[in-house]
Amino acid sequence: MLHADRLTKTVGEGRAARRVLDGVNLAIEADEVVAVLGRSGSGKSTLLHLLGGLDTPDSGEITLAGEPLTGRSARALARIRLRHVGFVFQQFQLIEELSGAENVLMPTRLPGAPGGGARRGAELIDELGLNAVADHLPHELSGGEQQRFAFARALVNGPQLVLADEPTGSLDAKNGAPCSSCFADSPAAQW
Amino acid sequence: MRAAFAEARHGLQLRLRRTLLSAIGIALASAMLAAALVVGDGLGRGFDRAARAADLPDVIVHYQSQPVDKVDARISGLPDLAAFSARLEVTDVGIGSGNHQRGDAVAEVVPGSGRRGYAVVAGRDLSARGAEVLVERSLAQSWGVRLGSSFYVDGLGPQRVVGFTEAPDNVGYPLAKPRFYVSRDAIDARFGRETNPNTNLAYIWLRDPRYLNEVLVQARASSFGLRNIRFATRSGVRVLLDQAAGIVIDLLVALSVIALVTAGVMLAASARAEVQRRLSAIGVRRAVGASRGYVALTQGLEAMLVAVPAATIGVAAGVLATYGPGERLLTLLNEPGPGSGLVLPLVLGWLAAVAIPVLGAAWPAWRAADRSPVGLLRGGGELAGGERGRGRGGLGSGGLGALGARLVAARRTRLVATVVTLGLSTAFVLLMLALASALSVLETDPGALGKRYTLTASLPPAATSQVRAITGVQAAAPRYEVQAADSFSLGETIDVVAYPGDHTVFEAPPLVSGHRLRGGEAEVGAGLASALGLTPGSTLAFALPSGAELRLRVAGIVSSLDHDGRVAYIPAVALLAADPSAPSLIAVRTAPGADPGRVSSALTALGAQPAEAAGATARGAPLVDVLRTILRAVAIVDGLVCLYALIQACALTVQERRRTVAVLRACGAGSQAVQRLLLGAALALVVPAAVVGILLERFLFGPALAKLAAGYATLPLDASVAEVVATAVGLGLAAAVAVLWVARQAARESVVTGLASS
Repeated sequence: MLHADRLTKTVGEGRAARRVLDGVNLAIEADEVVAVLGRSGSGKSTLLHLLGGLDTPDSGEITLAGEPLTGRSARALARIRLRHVGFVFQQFQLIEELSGAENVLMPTRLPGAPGGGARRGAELIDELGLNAVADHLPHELSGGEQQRFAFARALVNGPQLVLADEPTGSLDAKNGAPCSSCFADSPAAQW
Repeated sequence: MRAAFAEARHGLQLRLRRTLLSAIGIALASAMLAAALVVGDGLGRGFDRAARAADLPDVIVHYQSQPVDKVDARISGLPDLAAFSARLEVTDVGIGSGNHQRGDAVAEVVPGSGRRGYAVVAGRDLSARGAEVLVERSLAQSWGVRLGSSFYVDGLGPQRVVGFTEAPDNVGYPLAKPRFYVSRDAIDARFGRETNPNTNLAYIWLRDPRYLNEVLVQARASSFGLRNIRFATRSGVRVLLDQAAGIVIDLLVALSVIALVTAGVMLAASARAEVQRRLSAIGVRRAVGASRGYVALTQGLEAMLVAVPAATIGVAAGVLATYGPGERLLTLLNEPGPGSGLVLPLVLGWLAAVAIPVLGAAWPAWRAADRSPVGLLRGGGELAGGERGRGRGGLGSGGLGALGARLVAARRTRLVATVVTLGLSTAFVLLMLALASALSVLETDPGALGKRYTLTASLPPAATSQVRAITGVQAAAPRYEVQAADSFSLGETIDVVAYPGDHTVFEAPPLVSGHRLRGGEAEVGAGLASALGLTPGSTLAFALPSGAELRLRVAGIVSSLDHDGRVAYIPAVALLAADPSAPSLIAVRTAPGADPGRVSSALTALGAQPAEAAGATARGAPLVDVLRTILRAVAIVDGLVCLYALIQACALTVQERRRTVAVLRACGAGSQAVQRLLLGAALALVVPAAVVGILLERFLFGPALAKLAAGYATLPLDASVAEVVATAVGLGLAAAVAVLWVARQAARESVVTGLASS
């Protein structure tokens, strides 16, 4: 489902230039859960950004659901992200002016989003136990609640690929554990 | 200090694009400020400057031609006399220069010595050598007359142009007839010396102008035997000037004031927004031990590094845009340009344009630095505690547009400042459109002033029945008009208009208060009522040129732009009883659909010289053209200010919400979605600004300007529906340009970089 072939990526410029990915190959099949482990600065986040079409490799090929990501226009990459990829960021990146529910529904409102998003969003909020705080703004939510909303947002358009960049990195063990389990039992499998 | 300077410079280099945007804003505001100063200073102080330069006399007396010794004897006896100069004014003189020629010039024959009453702005004054003329600067400019060139005068032959003059007691060519000066010595040299030449014009200078009224009383008393005597005072000259130049001078001064207010609001809002955006950076400085003063100094220096070059460019651009048209306008008014007198106001304006952003940046930084560094680091850079958006349903009900609006609304102070700036600019644009319409109407449509007659015919009252018999004439009546002086304030001249019967058939200026005149009553213009403190029921007393005095009860106050509203409508029977020889024309009102040209031909056949009734500024077409040029220049700057304010607001929103935009893009939002987001943000600014602008124009600026421009008349300055729609469309276009430009910039940034921003 996701194939990466000989990916290279250099970050920084001039003296600060550093090759963080050098000939990375990767193949992930549908319903597979893969964890990428490595030291800080080893290029884990950079790899996720490349796989999700947020950034472009210096060389190499990426194919997602049969569609090549490399060499595509910004508009085409945006469409692929909308329909095939869901992101969960380390800092959750919830939009501060929107309530938790609105953050979940936001991707369903984007031009070109697949239908049925509103229903799926409501179901996700319900299944993740967020109904009571659905109207709360991000700064009114606990870290665990924020993470679950971020997770619901990543899943709401039924993506084939969910990329989570250290989703429990900013949570303590108590808050992080339930999220890890909810990720493992994610409703994504149903879609 | 050096460290702060280096940090400020480094900060600017890091934020080059935003620095450029701020610089553009400051430059635009400075340009507006400079334009306002040039126009305001030039027009507001032009008359006083001209009067001082020309040594304008306190009293100007016109009378029927008299030998000079007869006049000298009378004037010499006046109290408090400092100096006087009796001279001859000759009208309808044929002149020519280059390819130009006219047969209606005015020549002023001035004595060889004594005070002049005009300023020689180029070349030198007349000498006793003869065959020399001084030409009004406006005429010289219009005809391209050069110093030393030949100037043909009927009866005198070719004369050498030795200087150009300005005198504010008359407006310049082509607003008025061309005027030139010749020396009495030159006339004597050509035609032989006259021992007692005739004069018909006297300039009188007083030692103390406060005794003007007493001098006028004495002058009238001693003028027995002089016919057609007319007095004009400095204040009267102002009135004459206004008569020719129109009310637009006051209007432009008012527009300049509005421009200043708009520029100030925009600069302050821009500077404050910049500091608000960088609160977290201030928190970092405080956390590492920087003092409040250092934080404020760094911010102030950074603003100064941007403001100094931007304000310099802006001021220069504003001056370049308006100085030329302003000079042309002043030349038409026979007033000197501000010259070096404008340097100080411009320097002060430049200082203001630099100081406002510097103080605007330093003061919020000073205040912000007083907050706890922890608080600043936690959220200061993203959202101030009191400004977190609390709205609900924005995304659900309006999608990305609503989110954009909510992002803008989260910065309430900036939202208000931007809406106020845009609203003021919108109101300003509406006002200019309304003003342009009002000018056009006043220029071309006598009906706008309540004049219902379309033609006048130079025929005696006895010919009225013949005129009425002409096909196409609906009504005709003798129209008497004389210039009188107020009995108690002789410097106040009054245009007295009289009709036999109902004057509203021919002239129906809008009634402000009271009622229409009945027998033995008068309607007075609001300007006269204001000057003399007249109200319905009070008594109007004035002296006619014949010396007779009339006293009439004031029936009502009317709006009239003629003679600055210093007019009085009275029954003809009252006027003729006091002065049977009062001059008259026949006013002709044509029937609806009738061809005025045919009526005019029929009047010519009767031996009359028909003339069309003119609007208030009809003779001032060149002046109106200049004014339109100035208005256009100011309007263009104003439109750019609107565009800048919108771009800046959108750009700042995107800049502050880089992460939000990046999250949207990470979730699959394309450029179209970002445009929708920004459109919502722009609409949140534009829609209330349009409402504010329309309301401001309709209920504040329009009425205030109309009052300021013409307290003596009701000047309709309400923008029409078409003007409102045109302005709204313009605002919408500016919003569209801002959205497209900022969205394009936003799309260039990497999503990953946006996500990593703090």
